Amino acid sequence: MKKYCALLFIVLLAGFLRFYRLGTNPPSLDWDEASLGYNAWSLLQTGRDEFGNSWPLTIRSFGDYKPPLYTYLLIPTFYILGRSEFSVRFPSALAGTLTILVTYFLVIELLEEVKYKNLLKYAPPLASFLLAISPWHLQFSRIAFEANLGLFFFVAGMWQFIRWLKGSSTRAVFFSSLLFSFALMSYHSLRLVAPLIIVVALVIYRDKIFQLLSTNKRLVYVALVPTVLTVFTIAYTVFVQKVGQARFSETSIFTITKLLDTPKSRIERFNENPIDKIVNHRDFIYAKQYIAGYMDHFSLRFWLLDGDRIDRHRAPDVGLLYFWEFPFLIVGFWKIIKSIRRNKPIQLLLAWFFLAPAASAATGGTPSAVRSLIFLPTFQIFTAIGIVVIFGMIGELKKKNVLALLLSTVYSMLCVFEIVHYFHQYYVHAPIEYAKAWQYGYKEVVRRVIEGRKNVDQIIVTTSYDQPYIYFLWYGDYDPAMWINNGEFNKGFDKFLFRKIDYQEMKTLPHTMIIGDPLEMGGGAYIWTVSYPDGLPAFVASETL
Amino acid sequence: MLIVILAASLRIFDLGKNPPGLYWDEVSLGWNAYSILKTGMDEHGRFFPVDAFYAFGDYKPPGYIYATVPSIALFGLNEFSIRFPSALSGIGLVLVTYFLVKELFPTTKPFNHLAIFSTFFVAISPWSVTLSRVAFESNLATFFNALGVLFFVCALKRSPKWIILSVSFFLLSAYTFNANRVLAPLFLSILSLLNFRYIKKRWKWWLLSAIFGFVMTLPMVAHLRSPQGKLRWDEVNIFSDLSVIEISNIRKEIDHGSLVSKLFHHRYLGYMRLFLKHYFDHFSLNYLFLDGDPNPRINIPGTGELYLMELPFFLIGVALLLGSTKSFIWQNARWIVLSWILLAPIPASLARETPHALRSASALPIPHILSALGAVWMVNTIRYKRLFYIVYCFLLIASLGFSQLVYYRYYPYEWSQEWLTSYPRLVRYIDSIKEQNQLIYITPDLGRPYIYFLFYSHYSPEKFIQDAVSGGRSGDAFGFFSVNSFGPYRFYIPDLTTVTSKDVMVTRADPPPDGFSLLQTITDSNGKPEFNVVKR
Repeated sequence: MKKYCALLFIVLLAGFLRFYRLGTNPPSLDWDEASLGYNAWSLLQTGRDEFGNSWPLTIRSFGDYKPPLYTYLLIPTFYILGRSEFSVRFPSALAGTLTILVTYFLVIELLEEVKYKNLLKYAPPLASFLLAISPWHLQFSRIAFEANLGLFFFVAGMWQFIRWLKGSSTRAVFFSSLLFSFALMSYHSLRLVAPLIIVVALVIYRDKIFQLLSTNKRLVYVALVPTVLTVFTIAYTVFVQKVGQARFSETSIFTITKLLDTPKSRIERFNENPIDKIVNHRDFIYAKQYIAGYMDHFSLRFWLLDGDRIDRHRAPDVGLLYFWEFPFLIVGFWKIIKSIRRNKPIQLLLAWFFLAPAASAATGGTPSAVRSLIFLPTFQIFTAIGIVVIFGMIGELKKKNVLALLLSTVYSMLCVFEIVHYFHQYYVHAPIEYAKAWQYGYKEVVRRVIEGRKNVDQIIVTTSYDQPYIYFLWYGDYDPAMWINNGEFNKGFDKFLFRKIDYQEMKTLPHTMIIGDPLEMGGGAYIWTVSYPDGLPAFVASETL
Repeated sequence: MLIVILAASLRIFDLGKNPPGLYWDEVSLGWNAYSILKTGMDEHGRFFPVDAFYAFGDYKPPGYIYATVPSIALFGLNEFSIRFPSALSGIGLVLVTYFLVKELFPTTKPFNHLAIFSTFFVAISPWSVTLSRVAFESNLATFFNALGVLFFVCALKRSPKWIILSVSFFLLSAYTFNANRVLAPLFLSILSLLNFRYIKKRWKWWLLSAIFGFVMTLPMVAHLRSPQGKLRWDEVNIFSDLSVIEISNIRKEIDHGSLVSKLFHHRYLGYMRLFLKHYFDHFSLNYLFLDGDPNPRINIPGTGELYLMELPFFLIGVALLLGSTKSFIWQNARWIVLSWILLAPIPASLARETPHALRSASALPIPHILSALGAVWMVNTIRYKRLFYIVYCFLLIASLGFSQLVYYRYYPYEWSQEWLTSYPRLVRYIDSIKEQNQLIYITPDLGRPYIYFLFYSHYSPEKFIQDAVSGGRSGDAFGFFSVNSFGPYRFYIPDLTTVTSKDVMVTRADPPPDGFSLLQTITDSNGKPEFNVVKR
């Protein structure tokens, strides 16, 4: 009973950290969030998405196609909570909180066979506590990102899958299949990584698998239904609708320009000499690029200092992991390596850890904290083990070892300092410093524009902050039944025109409201200004007669 | 023995010709050595400097220059003789590695082949080979540094007298390369602290060598405390980056300057993050195994500092070093190797450009020893030994072959610009047309032409010192010197009306000005026009 008290406390803490001021920090919806929200709203109202497709299998968002689950989960959320920034992020925050819960049970399953005193007692709650306060997990739990939703389904699926593989529950095979299917419907990267890890798991448990399959055949067949359906759905969208691979061809390493320039010029300079053709073969170049992308995810700078250096993915001056965790991480990892022999769950955990960036490595912008989110919660599990091991070692010392006591006191103070520092950075400074990364200001702009729209014939809005149209649809209360995107909305709809502002030319147009960034507008009389939280102007507007 | 021959051939073959030209720092080292050899004075007329050579105003440490003096005496003033000390120290490093591993690790099974493995890895190391083929002070300092550690281990295992030698070599490394001025004292004191109990019993020798070391550093310290010495440091170090303080102030303002916020946003924390960023750069797998140093003079672009094939063994080696039980590795070896690899990148991390393979070169040969450790463990553990040997040797030879192919086939062509290959051709051409009582005007656009003219025309060092003292040299606000004239050479483009019909002018490869006709176009080694020699 006592241990569930601790778990309850951890989950409540995680929930608090994830839901507290969810609608206002991050300070505004970025375009992906706005797009998710509007499409879900449209589906709730009309049964069609923004482009008028009825109950689509992939969600078209700007030029991109997203897996559908997050959008479909938003429909009941909107139905219950209404439409707001908070509710757009609600499924992600909920999934984040539940991941903490599931991690606890997953760690129990994973570590059951590791023989170390007190490990099974302390490691599971520690791991889920570490995940609850993890800068990496908290960041993505507070954004409407499909990755975080996918992570929850994957972790839960792994928990059930291991239960089935270990033979503790036959029904678990059905749940795991269902959860994995949800994971595949949530996020692109998982479509590559999840099957890989599952295959490795089947290989690890190869001698047991046939026995498992034969014990309860009917259940296994039933369990296969959701997986097969999902695979067919994905195959249908990729090969028949030809939309699924859009994302891949947009971001993969094969689209990095200039990668093949040097090899090509080398081959040319030596008149296609076979030696040069072999050494500079493009498969080598791509293989090298893939390895580089993979190793980018195992870098101390990525883990401890900067994350992936995208402002939307971090708090200022905070990495993905805490510094104080690092020594424990090393010790825990070493402990895991040492207990790998004849310990199948541990082998599976390590495979998970090393396969996590497999999809992210194949893309152009590495390292990526969001595409490799599936790393979680392996880091936290290693760290938790490390903490248990080190505390065990301290416990073995002679009583009243003053030095050890002093050192651990100082170290714990540093831990607390770093954790509080992170929360301070995240809740106080991130929304101010990184407002720009969140396309801050559109909400206010739309309100002002709707107020003043009666007086003008046309409204020109700058595209320098990207995709303004979705914000006008979302905040402007347009009826999705009437306004169906014909693919040209990004250039303009209703009274709006979206383009780069050339103020000198546009100010001659009659009865026009022009909204641009301060640079484009180049000074002059503004009717209103919308500023970032740090006071710098984001949007300025002027009106012609 | 075979390994040493392999190492030597990788380092000495075509040494003067690839990299395809001398960078101006190399020329300056060579010329100053030549000047010392002929006159006992450097190019600034200072008699046997021991603190630093002023050179271009970059205050070069003296070690490499004195090492080049015998080499120039033997082989004459040419590209080969300048690079020879570096190549030699690269070969020396291979030998030192062998003895170091013999001293550090047990020679019984499973370590019986460890020394050979390590030596082999160092011999073919892309990091060491590339540095050994250029006159880099850092490479010589790396050799001294490794020798210093070797003798330190001797002092621990044999007789405390060896500590004097150890301190001497650390001193030499500090007098050879800037980064080692930070590393040598740091490393020595950490090593001594780690063995404090041992030293306490034999404190006499340690005290003696400490005094010796302290006295010997005095000239260097005097130089470092001078304004010129500080100038160079201010230019490269990360702590002069003011944006850290600005950000800290803005954040404190947002928090209304509360006490806690002063702690959270203290600029020391900001600088610590900055330092760690640069420090971690040196441990990035991509830097070590795939991309290497971004500077094409220090590393061949597109290849790593170490072979990718070493990576698995490197990781195993690190794991063994950190985690193996007491009987497996001599305890001291663990701490020496660990402190070595952790300390070596510290000086480089204090500077802005990271990762920096040159400033952190003193980490050599540790990465290779770790790889060798992993490889030896693998050989002893794996079931199919012969298959493993065959596959692995094939992979290593392929890696070596690939890197050599790139180095000899592509590198000289693709990166010739970095090596200023047009200067020697220019000097030789000018020499061939030179007449009496003629002035030669040369554009300084490509940077420091004077040193190439001194070097390739074998100008007399005595005459140059006189020319330079009597107004040929001037200094600027940043502490750099520029030489404007010596002998018949003028390193500026004059008012064109003052140029007489006898004079020759060298401009960049632009069309000749009105009234001038083109004598010759000077190209670099790729045939790209760099200079036009013109005459009225």
